[in-house]
Amino acid sequence: MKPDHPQKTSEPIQPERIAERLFERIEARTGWIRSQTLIAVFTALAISVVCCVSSTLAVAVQPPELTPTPSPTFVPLPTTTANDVLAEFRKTDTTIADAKPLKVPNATWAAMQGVQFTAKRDTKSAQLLLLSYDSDDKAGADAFKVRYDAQFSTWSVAQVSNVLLLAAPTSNANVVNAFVQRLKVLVVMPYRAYLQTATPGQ
Amino acid sequence: MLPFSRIRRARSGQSLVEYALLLALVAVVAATILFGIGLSVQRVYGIIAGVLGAKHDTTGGGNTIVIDTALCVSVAATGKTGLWVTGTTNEPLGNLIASTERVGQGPVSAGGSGFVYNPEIASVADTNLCPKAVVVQSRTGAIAITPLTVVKM
Repeated sequence: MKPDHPQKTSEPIQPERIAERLFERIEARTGWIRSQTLIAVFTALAISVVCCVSSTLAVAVQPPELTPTPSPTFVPLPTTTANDVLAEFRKTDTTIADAKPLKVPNATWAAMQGVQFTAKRDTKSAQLLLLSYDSDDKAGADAFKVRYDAQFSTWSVAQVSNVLLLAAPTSNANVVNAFVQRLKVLVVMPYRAYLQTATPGQ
Repeated sequence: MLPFSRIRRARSGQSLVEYALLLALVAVVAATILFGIGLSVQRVYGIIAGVLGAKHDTTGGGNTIVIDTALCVSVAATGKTGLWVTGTTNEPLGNLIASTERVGQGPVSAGGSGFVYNPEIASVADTNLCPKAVVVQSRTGAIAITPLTVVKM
């Protein structure tokens, strides 16, 4: 006796026939022909790719912490005096000679203390003028003014906090830089953690 | 399956793909332009904040800029008006640009405790020419903002 339904044979899966049926079903439901369905699929893929790429870029560009970090507070640099700085300079291996205190404030300088001296290291030397003010704003104002001064316009000026260190144009740059660096170690670095850590007197 | 040539000839629904491609193109172009003008926008907002009195030393990308002295000095004796801005940073100085609402942006130079920005504004002593705020900005995104103190000498 034959069965009512023919026995199913195990046919190999044919993707083309599956796709054919899928297209037919979509056409039956939406009325889209195959090319329209393909275009819709490609469009969906394109939009997905754009979204994925945008999301990846957004995540990559975002900072790791989403919570805003509080802005660090930096204390104002401490003030010091020319005499204290000179005493610090004397601790270095550079010889300080001909130190002469200046009568300040005067017509040129609004400083509270001033000293002129010569620094010597080996055969190199520098003629320096060290001035300290009661505020860094006053030091900055004099630093700006001296650029146009007949006598000191050619001198190099370094402001560190409330101190100005001026060097004559004939001064050796290495000697001057050594003093500026020493001044930074003394006045700036202990109070600016992001700079190289140092403590006064090192 | 339709041959590719027939798909190419089919016109209906094609505008969707075009819209998607256009959207992608606009997104890429916008991202490129925004990245380029981002620092300028940050600078302008910084100057506005400084003019309104804000002082802000900040870090960005692990880098820090701090403005210690920010002066606009006018000297009657020499007939000069200019800026004297000093500060410290752990950034390479070549990365830094300073600007105000009146003086165009310019590079900072090495000096003193870190950097100095000291452009001459005018060959006349006039505090009315002084800008209100200065911004020192790095390419990495760190920015320091501070109002300028006017000094008349």
